[in-house]
Amino acid sequence: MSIDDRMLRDLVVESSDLQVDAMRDARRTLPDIREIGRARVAHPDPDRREKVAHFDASRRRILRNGGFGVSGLAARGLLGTAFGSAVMGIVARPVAAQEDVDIMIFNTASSLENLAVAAYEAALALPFFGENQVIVTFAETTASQHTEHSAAFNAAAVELGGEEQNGTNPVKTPEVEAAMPSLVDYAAVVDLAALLEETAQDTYLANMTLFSDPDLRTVMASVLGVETQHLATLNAVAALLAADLPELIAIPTDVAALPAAAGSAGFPLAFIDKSEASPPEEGAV
Amino acid sequence: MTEPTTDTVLDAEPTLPGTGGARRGFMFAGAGAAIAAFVAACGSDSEETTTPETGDEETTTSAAEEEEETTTSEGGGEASGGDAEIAAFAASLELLAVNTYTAAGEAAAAGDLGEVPPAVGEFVTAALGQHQEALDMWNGVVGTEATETPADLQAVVDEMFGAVTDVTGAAELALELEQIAAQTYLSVIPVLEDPAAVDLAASIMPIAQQHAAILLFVLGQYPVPDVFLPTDKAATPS
Repeated sequence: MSIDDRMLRDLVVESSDLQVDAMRDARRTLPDIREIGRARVAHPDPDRREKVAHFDASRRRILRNGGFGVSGLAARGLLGTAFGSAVMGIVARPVAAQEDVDIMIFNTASSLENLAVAAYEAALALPFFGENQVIVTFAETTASQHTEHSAAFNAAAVELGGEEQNGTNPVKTPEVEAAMPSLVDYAAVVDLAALLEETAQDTYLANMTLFSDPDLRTVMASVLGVETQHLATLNAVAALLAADLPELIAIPTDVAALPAAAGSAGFPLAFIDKSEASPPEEGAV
Repeated sequence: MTEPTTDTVLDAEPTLPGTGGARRGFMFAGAGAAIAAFVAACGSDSEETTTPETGDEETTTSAAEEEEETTTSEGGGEASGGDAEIAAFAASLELLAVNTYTAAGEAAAAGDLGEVPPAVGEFVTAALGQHQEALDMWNGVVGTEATETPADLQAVVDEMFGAVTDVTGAAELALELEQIAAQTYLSVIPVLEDPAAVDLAASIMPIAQQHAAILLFVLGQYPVPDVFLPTDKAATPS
């Protein structure tokens, strides 16, 4: 692989700096969320029934459309046998009016972030994974970013009166575990990682309008904007792997040598859809 | 907010005016007709109103669910006082992107940017098309076609574009525009009132971020520099 060691060291230093900035940025949103939590205790939401109905309808739509399993895993040849029964279990589960949708959304988001961290860490332990140092750096940095995202979502859930979600998503985890034996090369890993990033992206978009307070959208939208860059990067890497040009997954970039497809593979849609979205309560504690 | 490097050309270039963070103080008016247009543009009798794309899976929505979700969406729109103005500003930003990418493509075709790598040419074509789609969508929301770009941003883009002599310079200008667009969308997501408008802004914002990631890679920078998307480059109406 063509690797500039100095450039790569710079990347690692930058990623360390990013963690400091990240915590500062995450803390910016917490006072607002804390205020929302206090106001909620003092003044219960009069529109709760309507929001729960909206939540229910959104959940049914997401499940009907297939979400993570049907359209995603099947397309990638990773579909596991346990998925169908797990989905049916969620469909059948009623949503009580007292359930707090906001907290469930944040819990589910944390569960997806935790699963992403686990998946990247598992990938880093694969015997072939160290061949391309840029991919290694990407996996390490991305796992770290997902850790920060989970911490931010957990902080929001706690501020709203809920509990932290420190586990991985209960529906997606078995599917990722089932896929692990198939991760025999970079292409397979990138494919699975892209699916996880797309799931997070679609879930955050799908749940954005379910929040009871508009200010709660900020932290989720901020993370959405980062997950989608992970996805774009993975899609571009996948295009280079498909073109049998792994040596171009390098920094500095040999732009002149990049195939035309690399210029657009990272952003195939003009609008993000919600095809891989998880139901809002899927990772609720 | 976090930047991957401190020695890029962009850092030495003039700061774009009208940028600088989210705000809650939009004072806009006249949203009713625009929201009606938004609903008309984003949905039909058989489609869900909260999805900007014509997703085929939405056509199977039951009547009860459709009524439930549509009511929620329109209810939010009726209460909106600023969504129309935000939509108009979003359209003007998308128009600026369309115009800039079009000009970059023309400059490349004329040989003014030197040798243009195939991936860069492909990027310009694809990104231009997607910004045009976003522009068309916002135009549908507003009810009229945007004809003006944000004057202050346009002036600075013109100045920066005048200094562009190669693909790298063009990519840096494009990166700046994509970051402004993404961060502007992020800044208005908590401000928008109609759920359908939120949905549209939140579905376009990631596309600008994806464009930025590829541009960063092309420029030899880390493609995902921020742990949380900031709003320090967000544009505000002048």
